[in-house]
Formats: sequence, structure tokens, C-alpha cells
Amino acid sequence: MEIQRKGLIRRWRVVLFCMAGCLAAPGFAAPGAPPRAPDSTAAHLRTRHAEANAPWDVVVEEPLRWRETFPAERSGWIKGLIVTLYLIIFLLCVYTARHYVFTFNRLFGRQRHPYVPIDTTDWPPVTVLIAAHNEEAVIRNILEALLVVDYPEDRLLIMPVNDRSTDGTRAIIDAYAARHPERIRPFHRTDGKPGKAAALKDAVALVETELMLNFDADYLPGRPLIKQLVAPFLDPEVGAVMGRVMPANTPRNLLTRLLDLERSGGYQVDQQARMNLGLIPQYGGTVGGVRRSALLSSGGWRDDSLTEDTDITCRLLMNGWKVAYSNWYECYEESPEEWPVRIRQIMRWARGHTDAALRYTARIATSKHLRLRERVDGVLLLGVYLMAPVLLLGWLTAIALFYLGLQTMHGVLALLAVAAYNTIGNYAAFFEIAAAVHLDGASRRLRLLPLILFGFLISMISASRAALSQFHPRVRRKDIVWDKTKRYRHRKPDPPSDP
Amino acid sequence: MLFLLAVVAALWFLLALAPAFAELWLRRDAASPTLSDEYEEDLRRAAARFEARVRPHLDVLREAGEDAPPSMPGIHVLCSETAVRTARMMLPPAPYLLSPAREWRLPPRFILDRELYAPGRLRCGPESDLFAVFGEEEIDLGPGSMVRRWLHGRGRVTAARGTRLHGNASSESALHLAAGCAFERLQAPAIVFGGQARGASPQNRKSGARILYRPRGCFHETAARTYVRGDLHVPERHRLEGNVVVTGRLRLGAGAHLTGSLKAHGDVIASEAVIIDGSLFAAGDVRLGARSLVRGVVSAEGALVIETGVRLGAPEHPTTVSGARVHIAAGVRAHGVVWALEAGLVTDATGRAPRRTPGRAHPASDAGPRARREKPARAEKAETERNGA
Repeated sequence: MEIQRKGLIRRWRVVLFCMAGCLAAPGFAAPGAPPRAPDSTAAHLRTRHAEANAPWDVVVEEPLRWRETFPAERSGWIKGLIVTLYLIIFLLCVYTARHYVFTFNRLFGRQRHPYVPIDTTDWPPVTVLIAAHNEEAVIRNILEALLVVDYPEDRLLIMPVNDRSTDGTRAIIDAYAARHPERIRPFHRTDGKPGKAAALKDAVALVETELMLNFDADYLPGRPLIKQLVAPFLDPEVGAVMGRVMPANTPRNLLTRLLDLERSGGYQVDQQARMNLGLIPQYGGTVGGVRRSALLSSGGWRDDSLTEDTDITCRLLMNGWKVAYSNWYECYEESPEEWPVRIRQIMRWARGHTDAALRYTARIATSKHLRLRERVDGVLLLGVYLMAPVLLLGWLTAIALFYLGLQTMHGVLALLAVAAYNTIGNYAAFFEIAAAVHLDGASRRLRLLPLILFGFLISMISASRAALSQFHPRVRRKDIVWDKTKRYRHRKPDPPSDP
Repeated sequence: MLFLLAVVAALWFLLALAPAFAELWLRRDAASPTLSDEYEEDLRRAAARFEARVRPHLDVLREAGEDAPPSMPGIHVLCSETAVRTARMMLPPAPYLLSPAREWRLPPRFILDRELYAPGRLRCGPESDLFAVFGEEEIDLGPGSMVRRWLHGRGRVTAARGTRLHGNASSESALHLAAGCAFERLQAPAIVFGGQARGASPQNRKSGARILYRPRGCFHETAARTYVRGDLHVPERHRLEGNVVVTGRLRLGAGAHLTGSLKAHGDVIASEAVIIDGSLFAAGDVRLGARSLVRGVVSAEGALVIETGVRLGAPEHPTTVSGARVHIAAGVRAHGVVWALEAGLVTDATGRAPRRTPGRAHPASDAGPRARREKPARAEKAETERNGA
């Protein structure tokens, strides 16, 4: 009750602040009423009459000038609001341009898949880590999928990392390990810090191979995926590899269909374009892998990070390693089917990402191992989730300025609207998604694009809350709480049969 | 009135969303894309599928012996010279199966626009134009021939001068390409370009590089990797240990030996008799000097020029060699896969492109329609067509 009351007070405080701002502003006018002209010579709209000998009176609306719109007496925080709005619009325009560059590159540019041709080589030994916490509904599927992949059996070790599961996960893993003792070596974690990063950190100590691939337990790799993910590691500069994630439960409901579109835009256009342009593809923590020596030389997994993938991406880059990505390396995942689950997921991502932004933005921007364009892209990538609150702030600022009587910034507001439309979304703007769906050759699902606005708005508000909370010192000091994503693969957890 | 106006406005707004709601309701394009069961780049997939399709017909033919039927549903059986000569006129269009009883020698300028299955040895005359060929034994392609889609032979496949191999060409034994051949993707345990090179095979040659080279101004980040900012020149007969990343260009002096893998952001120029034990990746062009040896993968995002006598991979360790434009001199031997993403050409031993065959375009200048690749993933279908990657 107390918490609700505080929340209510906080919301009213924002409204009162805006109202007080309006009342305090000189030149305040109620909505709908014409703005009061200042006492100075300029009016908001200056009317100029034509020459006296003209046959009729011509009224010309002259464009506003800065001095006329914002006279000297409107100083202080009004100017601050205006500067803030311009700054926000500038940021939004930068992200808009970035999205356009990526989209046009994917549609018309040269595509880079330097490791895709590698299909014959002396395949190196590799360990596949499967982080699993209460995954009895899905763990069997990924084990079965990994047992039939196209990779030399004597060079592939599967290591399920059972992180303090309290359901039947352990029994299922042990049953499979008993049947394939040479191929499956489970790691049962019974204590220690919670979370995927902490579990992986402990597991790395047991890994004997130079290459490690990571999958979440709900993923379903295809037969060729291991070879595809290992091939880029033959390049001594590659520290991590990332593949494309595709939802397997797309037809389920509106949310899964919208997530399918969003994933499509994020991977098909965004990630691949960054690979094409020599920028920074992001290692996503699953459907990917890390070189052990690169990981250890970069400090290993951080168990105090909610997004260990973004964290390790930054540290690998700062140590001179590269992340490789290709759309060809495809893998199924199970996307959230309920909005609360999705909101929790995106809030976790936003918190972790913002945490990484606070840690690494300055270091990425000044890293000696990165080229200028990589540094710029790295900074923009780290700021992706911060754009949600920035956009909200832009809208609020524009509304506040409107009610302050500054109703004539049509150009600026139009720019804000266009930039917002082109920037909104976590990773992919609308036209990126449209391009991705076009590249995927799936035309009908493109019709769902208008509905994605609702998903974006929900994501934006969630991401804003989570990102802003990271700036609060009390939140930053608090121990992280790992929020496990719910699974929907309804399957009775019966004892495993012979695979 | 106001209510009516609101309803009309709402309906007007919803009208724009009607296609979205229709798709959401009908789910006409909601299926998740299928993942491939095979490695995307397995060159023999099309051939394997074709073989599986023809195999039942072939079994019937072999059982029938002399009483083999001249026609079978879904396939044209070519039993005689006359049938071969009139093959193109057979209707409806269907793959062709040569009679298994004999060795076949196709006439000059023979043209087929469907797949051809040869149970025995197949010899094609000069300037043959074939759609796709599967041979259970050896296949010989005459001078100036062309295969438009794919070619697979259980036995040795030999392509004479001026042959153009679009798409995938593979053999379970060996591929021999004469100078002047153009190619895209080749796969075989042994791929011989333009005959054997003179001199000792570098597979058995010991490295003469005894002096350990330590590049200056580099960053030794880990024990396993050396990171060099800028250009790097490894002197003659020097040895460089471990993996190396060079942000500029790389020059390897004659007889240099690299024990690890190599990545260069610029061009790589290797002089004669260089040995690279690991892989070689370059964002620019790569030139491998005569009698060099690379045991791992060679990948050039630009042009790849390989001089005579070079060995790529080993029979027991096949590898992949790829580049945007690949020029391989006669006398080179590779094991595994050679893939020219844009165009590949076998030059003569001096590295010069052979003279044009009169009346025909130069093989390398005429990439022709690119082979249709088997791509189950919808993601790259449109992209491939656009990029030709």
C-alpha cells in the first residue's frame, strides 16, 4: 500500500512539475489560446502589408526568428528545454542515419560472409556449453539435437551446465550422459552465485578445448551449425562468433509474431550490416562461441553482469579481438509467449546493456585496437537501450514546450516525429524490419508491421524504466537477481528414452 | 452524432490495420523457416539427390540387361548413338540416363538441357554444352566444353583446355583441370591444376627457416597470438611462431615459415617456398609464391593468385581455399575445396591467361548464369540472387 502511494505521489509530482513549469513560464497561455506576444517589437507572426498601390492587401507570414520566438526574457530553463529538445533530436537523427545505413547496406551493398565458404578443414576440438536452470521441459531437445550434429564425434564434447536446478533437469542430463559418456560430460552446479554468467564462469575452468560454443537450453541447433560456428575461429583474430536466432514458436500469438519480425530485423539487417561494414557485430550469448584464450585474456565471464554477452563483446573488442557474424548460422529459439515475460526479459536486457554502457562507453571510444568507425558504432551500440528514455524525454519536452506557448516549432517537431518513428525499437526500426522480411522472402508477414508499434511502445517504456534504474546508486549496488525466462514447450518431463 | 463520428473515425483507423489483423487471424505466413539438415556448402548435395532419384531406374535397367526398355516414366533412357543424337528432341523434358552397358563417347558440340546420368565412363567431345552430369566412373570433358549447373564423378574428372565449370564440380577421386579452364567451386580429395609441377613436392620439403623472427612494435597479447599494428615484412628464411594478426599488409620473404595461422587486414604477398602451417586469412588480395605450402584454410576477400608448384592442404588434411577472384597457375595441387566466389581461372605455369579459343568468349570473362545453389534457408534466397555470393 505504501509502495503504491509512493508511486502515485511520484507520478503526480511529474504532472505538477510540468504544470508548475507552464505556470511559471512567461508567455504562458492555455491550450488553444493564441500565445501572448511579448512586449518587445516582435510578434509571433508578423504581418507585412503589401505596397500601398497594390490592388489588394497581401498578407505574408514570415518565418520565425530565434530572437522573436525565444526573447531574452524567456531565459533560463525554457532555453534549457529547447536545447535539450534539439540535442535529443540530434541523437535520434544519428540513430536514424545509422539504421538507414544498415538497411541500405543490406539491400544494395556488398555482403561479407568470409567464413561461409569454409566447409572442409581439419576441424578443431570444441566444447558446447548448455546453460540450464530448471529446464526439464527443453533440455532433452537440445541434447538430442547436439548428438546428431554434423561434426567429428571425437572432437565435440557436450557439457550441460546444470545451474542449481530443482526440477528434473539433473536426472535427464545424467541419463543422457550415462548413455554417451564420451560425448556428454555434465557439470552440476549446486552452490555459488546465481545466473548464467556465474555458471559459465565456473564451467570454463573445466573446459579443456580452445573453442567453446554456448547455447541456451531452449535452443535447437541444426545439423551443420557447429561446423558453421567453428569455421570463423580458424581466423586468429576472431574471439567470438555469433549466429542468427530464429523463433521456433512464431505462429503462437501476436507477441511471438511481433518478436519474429523484431528478431528478423535485428539479425538479418542490423547484425549482418555491421559485419558487412566492418563494424561491431554483437556476441549474443547463445548460438555462438568464444575462444577460450580470448576470453581469459579479456578477464573471463563477469558474474555481476545481467548481460554477460554485451559485457564480453566489449572486453574482447578492447583487447583486439573481433566478433564474427553470419546470417547463415541459423538456430531456433523459443521466444516469450506472454507480455509480462517479455517485459521482464527486455528489462533485464536494458539493465545489463545500460550497465555495460556505463562501464565501457568511454573505453570503447578511446580503444587503440578499434578503428574510428568501430568506436563510433560501439558507442552507438552501447547506447541503444538508452535511446528509449531519451525518446520519451523528447516527447515530454515537446509537449511541455507546446503548452508553454511555443507552438511554432513545426519543423523541429516534425523532425522529432520522423526521427522517433525511425529510431523507435530496441534494435530495429520499422524499415529495417521491412527490409529484413523482404530479404527473408516472406511477404505476407510484412502486413503485421503496423502492429509492431504496440510492441515497441511497451518495450520502450520497459526499457526506459530499466535503463534509468541503472543510474540509481541503490539499484547499482544491489546484487543482481537473475530472472529466468519462462519456457512454453509443453512436454511431459518423462524419463529419457534411448535417443 | 458525435458518437457516430467517433465510430466512423475508429473504423477508418482500423481499416488501415485490416491487412494486419487478417494476417494475424489467418496465419498465412506464420511458419518458422526450416533449417537445413546439411552443411550449406556441401557441394555434393545436388548430385546426391539426383543419384537417389535415378537409382531405381538404373536398377531396373541393369536387371533387364539387353531387354532394357527405351523409355521409363520420368526419365529418358539413351541406349544408342541415334538416341543420343536426338536426345534434345525428346519430350517431355526429363533427365537423361545413359545405358549402363557400355562406355559412352558423346559427339562434338553435344548439347543437353537436363541432367545426365552416366553409369559408365563418359567422354564428351569438344565444345559440349551440358546442364549437369553425374558419372559413376571417369568423366572426360572435351576442350571448350561447358557444364552449367553441377558435375560430380565417382571416378576421376578431367576437364580439357577452355572448359567452363559453372556451379559445383566435385569428384570422389580427383579433379584435373587443364590451363584455361574456368571454375566456381571444386571439391575433391585431390585437385590438380594443369598437370604436375616440376621439382620436389613441398609436402615433403623441410623448412629452411631456422632464424626466429620477432616483429618490432607489436603487441604480444597472449602467448598464442601476436598482434602487429601496421605492415609486417618477414625476412627471407625466417620463422615466425604462433598466430599472427597484422592490421596492414604482410610480406613473407622467400623460404619464410609461419607455424601458426595468419590474418592480415590488407594484402598478403608470399614469396617463393613459403610454408604456413595454419590458416591464412586476408581482407585484401593474396599472392602465394611458387612452391609454397599452406596446410590450413586460405581465404582472401579480394583476389587470390596462386603460382605454380603450390600445395594447399594435404591428402590426410583436406582444406578450403576461397577468394573473390581466383587465378591458379598450372602445377598447383589442392586437397579439399577450391571456391572462386566471382570467377576462377586456371592459368599457365607462368601465370598468364591462355589465349582465347577462336569463336568463344574467354572462360574467365564469361561467368555465365551462376549456378543455382541449394539454399533451404529463406533468409539468403533473395540475398544470394542479389549478390551472387
